[in-house]
Amino acid sequence: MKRKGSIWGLVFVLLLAILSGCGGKKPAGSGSESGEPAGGDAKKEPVELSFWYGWTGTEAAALEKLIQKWNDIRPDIRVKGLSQSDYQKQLTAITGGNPPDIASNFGQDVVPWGERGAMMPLDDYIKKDNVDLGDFVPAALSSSQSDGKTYALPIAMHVSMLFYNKELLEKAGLNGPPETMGQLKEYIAKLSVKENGGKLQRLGLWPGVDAFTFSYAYGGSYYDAENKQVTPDNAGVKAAVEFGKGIWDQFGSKELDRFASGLGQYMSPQNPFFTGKYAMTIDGEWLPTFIKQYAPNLQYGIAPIPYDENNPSLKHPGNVTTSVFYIPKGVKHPDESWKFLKWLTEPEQMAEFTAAIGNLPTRTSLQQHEIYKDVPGFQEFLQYSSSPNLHSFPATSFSAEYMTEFTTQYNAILRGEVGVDEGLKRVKDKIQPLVK
Amino acid sequence: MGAAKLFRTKIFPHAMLILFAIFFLFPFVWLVFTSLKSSNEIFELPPRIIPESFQWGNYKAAFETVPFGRYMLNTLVICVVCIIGQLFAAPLVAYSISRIPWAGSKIIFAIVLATMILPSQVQLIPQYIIFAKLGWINTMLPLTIGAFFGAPFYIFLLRQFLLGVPKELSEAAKMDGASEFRIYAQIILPTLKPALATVALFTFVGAYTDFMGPLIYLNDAAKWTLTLGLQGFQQDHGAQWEKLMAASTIMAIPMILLYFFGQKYYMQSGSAFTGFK
Amino acid sequence: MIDSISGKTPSRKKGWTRREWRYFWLGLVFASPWIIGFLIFTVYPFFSSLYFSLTEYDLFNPPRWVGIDNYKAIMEDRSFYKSITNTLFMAFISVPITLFSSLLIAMLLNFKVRGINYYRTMFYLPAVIPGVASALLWTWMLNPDFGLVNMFLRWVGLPDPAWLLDPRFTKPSLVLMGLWGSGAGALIFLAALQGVPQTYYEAAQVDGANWWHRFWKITVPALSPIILFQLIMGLIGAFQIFTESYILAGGKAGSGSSLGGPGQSLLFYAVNLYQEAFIHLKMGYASALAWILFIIVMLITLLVLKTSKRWVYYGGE
Repeated sequence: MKRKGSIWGLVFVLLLAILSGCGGKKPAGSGSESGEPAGGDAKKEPVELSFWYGWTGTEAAALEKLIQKWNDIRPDIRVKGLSQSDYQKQLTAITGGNPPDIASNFGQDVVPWGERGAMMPLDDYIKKDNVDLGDFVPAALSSSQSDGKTYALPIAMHVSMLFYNKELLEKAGLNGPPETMGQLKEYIAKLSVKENGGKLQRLGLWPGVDAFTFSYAYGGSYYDAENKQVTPDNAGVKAAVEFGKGIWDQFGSKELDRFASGLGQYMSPQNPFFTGKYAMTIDGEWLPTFIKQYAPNLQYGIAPIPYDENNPSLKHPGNVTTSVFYIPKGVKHPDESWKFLKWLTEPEQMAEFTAAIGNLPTRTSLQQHEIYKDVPGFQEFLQYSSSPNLHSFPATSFSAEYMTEFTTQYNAILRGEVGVDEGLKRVKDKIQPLVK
Repeated sequence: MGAAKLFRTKIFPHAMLILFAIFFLFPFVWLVFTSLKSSNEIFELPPRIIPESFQWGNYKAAFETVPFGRYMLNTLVICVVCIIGQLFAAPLVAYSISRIPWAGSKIIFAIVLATMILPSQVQLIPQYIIFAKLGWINTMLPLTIGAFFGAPFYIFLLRQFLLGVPKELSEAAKMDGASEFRIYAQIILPTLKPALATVALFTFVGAYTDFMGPLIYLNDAAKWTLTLGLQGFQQDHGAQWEKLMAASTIMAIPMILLYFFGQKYYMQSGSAFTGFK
Repeated sequence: MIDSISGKTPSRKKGWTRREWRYFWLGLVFASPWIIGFLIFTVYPFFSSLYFSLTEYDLFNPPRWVGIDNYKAIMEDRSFYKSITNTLFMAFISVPITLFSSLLIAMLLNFKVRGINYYRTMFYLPAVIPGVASALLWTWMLNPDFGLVNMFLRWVGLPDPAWLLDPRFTKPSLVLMGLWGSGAGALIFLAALQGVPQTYYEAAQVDGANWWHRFWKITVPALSPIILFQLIMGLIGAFQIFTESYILAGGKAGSGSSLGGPGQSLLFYAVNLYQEAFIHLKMGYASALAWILFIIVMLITLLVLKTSKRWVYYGGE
């Protein structure tokens, strides 16, 4: 009994040691290490900022390079980066009162988070430091703004274009890419190949993708800000949904599932566009880099997204998504955080970072920058990113829920579980009550 | 008769084991082979199992991308602390609710079950706030402290084992005037050896493979664990699969070793008296 | 048990004997680690989620009381019904199958033959492969054209479904994957099998009982406390199933693609809850979902415990 008692005593001591040991580490970690500012700036302790971002791997390395550069020129404000692939961490930390000093996020989260007070409005700083917001691509900036407030600055953007396989188009006797939605429909019919008693061998264009892009091609709009109405039943949106549904029904769910099951991994030489299983595809500015890596012999072209032939003013439509930097509300050093954020989004840093990770810059002044000269496909995309018909999904406090519900119902419509009108009505019924 | 016995004791068991082993071994073999493929080969259709040539460089590349030594150390410290905590607390609590006739045992058992049934997602934020108030964010305390209070899963498991231990065992000791603690430590615990080995192994694997806990609570890359290191191989539009597979293989090794060498504790049938009516 | 759920304190009989008091204090001391942990770290999160369920709470602003509005809204939410149907499938199909296969494997691993410790290690291997790696593995195994599963099915002349791509077969795919992880459940059974006295089997053999007979008359009753454990934990786990669906069918959070896989066939209860809480920022609504689940699963658990009196044998009783 005594022996056992001493073992429990030991366990208890060990427990205490661990508790105190771990607890003790914390103050040492959060304070600055001794002998840090050797750079001669001995006037005051450097401010330490934590910077959480969602890029990982080599993309994170590109960002760390910039952080290093900043730390070299500004020893008084030390930035410490942390790569984290899941945004739930930021959400928890902000809610728990322990936010990072600067953070990255997806553009579509900005207004939902910002309007609820999780992000600091940057307008006073922007005004004070004369940051020229006019230099930003409007569709990219608008996703960070609501009610006259700017909650974040976009660092990078994505936009989709139409990729087509030149050989397959030639073989089908088609001259150049389709320009209008009507032509696109014909192209898809001509380029899709069925063999062996109706088994699909090749598809002109996968019909399930991206209703958002095609909505803008038809001049659609998801939200009427003036009348505070969500408009999933808007004529343009409906036309885009019907377009997708039209192609889907040419083949049917069963055959499309069967066809999809034989397709290879997206980021590999077996990507269906690389292997000719898709004759055309709608994809982003990173695809040419993958093609160079995985399918260097592919003869392909990049073309604008087709537009509604009845409405030529809608030429060069597209859906823009962004990555942004923001300052969470309640940070300890907002001035220093802003200085770093501002520096990161300056043309020089933006060019270096976006070129390294193969994203489009959000500043129009960078569209001619020579740093992108050697990035495959970037000339077409940079030019396209100045099109006035680019839109991003309307930034509202409920946009995440809106997009989820729309995508869900769109898929249900494609699979014939619900009619077009009924599906879009369901979206409206669910989302309209959220408008405030 | 001799042939029948040979069949029953040797041939049949081996045949069955081998048949099932193929099914269970295959994924691991596949993991190892994939970790030795080139990135272009991984997604070849139709897939081939054995790589054309073995790319040992994937392992070198994986080690260069992620500081394995440090992350492994961090992870193992957390695992060991959790095991100590769990082996201390879970059997004590289980003993209380299974072998001590007191008013609270049923209530505690019910609450233990209840805490497992409420989804953890809605408890995450309040839990984080408690740890933040205690100043424990960015330490390993939020990841380990729970073990010292006994995890509901193990309390329930050990309760089931303890209810199977015959009462006579402790009654006899009580007659001799042994205290409850002595009965617990010297008579009951030894009968639980296989169960406690299970608890230790599961605790280890649980802590070793936890992603959400370290992600939420560790803000300093120097304190990271292996699972957080793995996210370095995944990017927006895909992953560096060959390196990810190499890293996954390395990650699996400590768990395999622990299990292989831990078996002897596990299989000791020192509890031959555990019976049932 | 019923008393304890309704939250009544233990029926305090007037005048406990010395013996009762002694056991009371002993019980309290033994249970103290859990009680302390529960009071400090669990009570607040547990009950604050109940409070949140009666509020509108967006995580960034203080909760605003709305009464039972969240519960009313859930009753009209299509995703709720979809997710609960999907989840019930897993609870009632996957749990028994996995339970049975764990038991079978445990018995295999209990053979006393040469090299058994190597076999035991092999059977446990699937549990040590990280989630992302095993998700990729399964997309290979279940690839409709080239996957091993369909190769086998074609070879024996059975139909070869599109598995993860066909809404009708996504959940059976998860059941199949669960089978492969049953090595972990087998470990618990194996530990329990160590406590079954060999003499029982020998006696039964003398009586001429066959394998099947011995399984039902000796093994199953002896393991019944652990079967009960695995059944309840399996049910609780099935109702909270999340990671498998998130990895296999998840888009990136916030990218506008909805979680849940083809035709929302993998939209499980916890996936829907996660989406409401952390993507749609409706923690109040999500908390209400959590408490509805809590009540459903608690009732099922109590039902199982109630029936268990008829089929679980505790050696200590």
